[in-house]
Amino acid sequence: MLRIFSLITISLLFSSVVIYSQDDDLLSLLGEEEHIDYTTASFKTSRVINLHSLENTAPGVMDFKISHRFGTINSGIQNLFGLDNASIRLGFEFGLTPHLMAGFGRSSLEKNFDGFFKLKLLRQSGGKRNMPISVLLFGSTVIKTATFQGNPDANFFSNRLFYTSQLIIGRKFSEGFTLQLSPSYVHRNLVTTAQERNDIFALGIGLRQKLNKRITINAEYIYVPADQLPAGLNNSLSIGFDIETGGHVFQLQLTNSISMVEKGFIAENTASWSNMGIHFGFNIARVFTLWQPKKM
Amino acid sequence: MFYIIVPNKHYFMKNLFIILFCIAGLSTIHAQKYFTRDGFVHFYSETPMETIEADNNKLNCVLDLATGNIQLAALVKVFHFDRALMEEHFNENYMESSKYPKASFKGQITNIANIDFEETEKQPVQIQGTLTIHGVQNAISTQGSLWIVDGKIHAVTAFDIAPEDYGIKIPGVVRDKIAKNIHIDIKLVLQPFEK
Repeated sequence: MLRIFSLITISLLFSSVVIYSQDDDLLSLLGEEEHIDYTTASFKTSRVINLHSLENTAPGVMDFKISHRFGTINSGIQNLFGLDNASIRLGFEFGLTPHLMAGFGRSSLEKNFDGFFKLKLLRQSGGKRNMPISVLLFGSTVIKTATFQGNPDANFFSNRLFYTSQLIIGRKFSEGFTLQLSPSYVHRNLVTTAQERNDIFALGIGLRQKLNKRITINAEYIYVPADQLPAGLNNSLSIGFDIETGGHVFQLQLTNSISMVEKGFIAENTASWSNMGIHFGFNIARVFTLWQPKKM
Repeated sequence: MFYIIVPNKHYFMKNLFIILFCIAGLSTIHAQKYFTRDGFVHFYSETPMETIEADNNKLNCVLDLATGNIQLAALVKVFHFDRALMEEHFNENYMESSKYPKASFKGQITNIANIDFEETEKQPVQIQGTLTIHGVQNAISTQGSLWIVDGKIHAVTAFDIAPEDYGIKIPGVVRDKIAKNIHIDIKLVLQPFEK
């Protein structure tokens, strides 16, 4: 009989323990949710510095970009270290769908008009679908509208066109650190000298490290194999900061590229870091919501 | 030593088992739980400068009718804003959703004993418990109401919270755009939980 009582007591105790532990975590009854956790905010904006980043403008949003590159720092105090001399690009860039953005811009340098698209092919994600990297496809066309230099017989519209195709492959390794590679192909319908090639293959590398929630340090380098560029042209190297202030992202940088379109900053850099022939510059990004994308 | 004289051992045991079975049976009825995986939570912050709002319709909730214990959890990343940039800043700068992916509540309906789970009219409920947001826990208590439609428990509640109570720092430049108190609305339709 004693045995029965102790059995009952123990079983009652045990059952109350079981009930208690269930109540302590009721939500575990529902199990883990199946959810695709897409990686977001790999970069603060759609550019690393000059290179396009892993980020697209969100659907329904227009990103108005005002970018300046000043003269070279080694032009001295008389030119206020280059600030007297500014090259400007105004850009209007649109998020069309969650995967596609497109935009156009106009640069004062060479009076270039540029149009581009950027398409997300793979999105880095965790959870239900594990995808270690993001891959994007980028394409742009530049129309050089400056007064035609050189043989007037070659002054066709097609000879003013430049094309860039790029894959952007990258990964946000941690909350703070993102790295991307940008294998690029630039095609120029017309080059000015026989030493220059019509086709250029290059590899860009871009990274960012968060310094705090709102400030990141960014760097990029674009490697063009030496045999593809004539003497006097240099690979692009840029370092800068992104400062996000709510509605704006300010990107401040030092770069040896004056051009803000791909064909220029990949293959036409005359300035060099070696003699401080670098440019101070900034990009200001301001976003406007134009329409509401459909809720997913 | 403790000893009981029982005229018929087997008779006693038989009764005991009946009693035990009854207890077990009762407890299974009362232990009935209700749940949802797609509860709705909406918050808004209103200042003369800006209205900020977002919603999440993947709120998880389990309610235990026997004890009145109620638990809720929402993934922070699932909150949807009309403006994409706000959503990014919400996750990146304020909620730090990669570090603190979930917001949750663990508590109790304190007047569960007075609630009629057949009643189709709204009945007031008192809720008390711990709200965890941004990794910071705070005790909260609030009111709501509850009613039954077609065997499902409908429940609503609303309350205000202050971001600073949850360690969410708001920098000076945007302080005028984000309200001191954020209003939160919750709507749930809970169905019986069957294993």
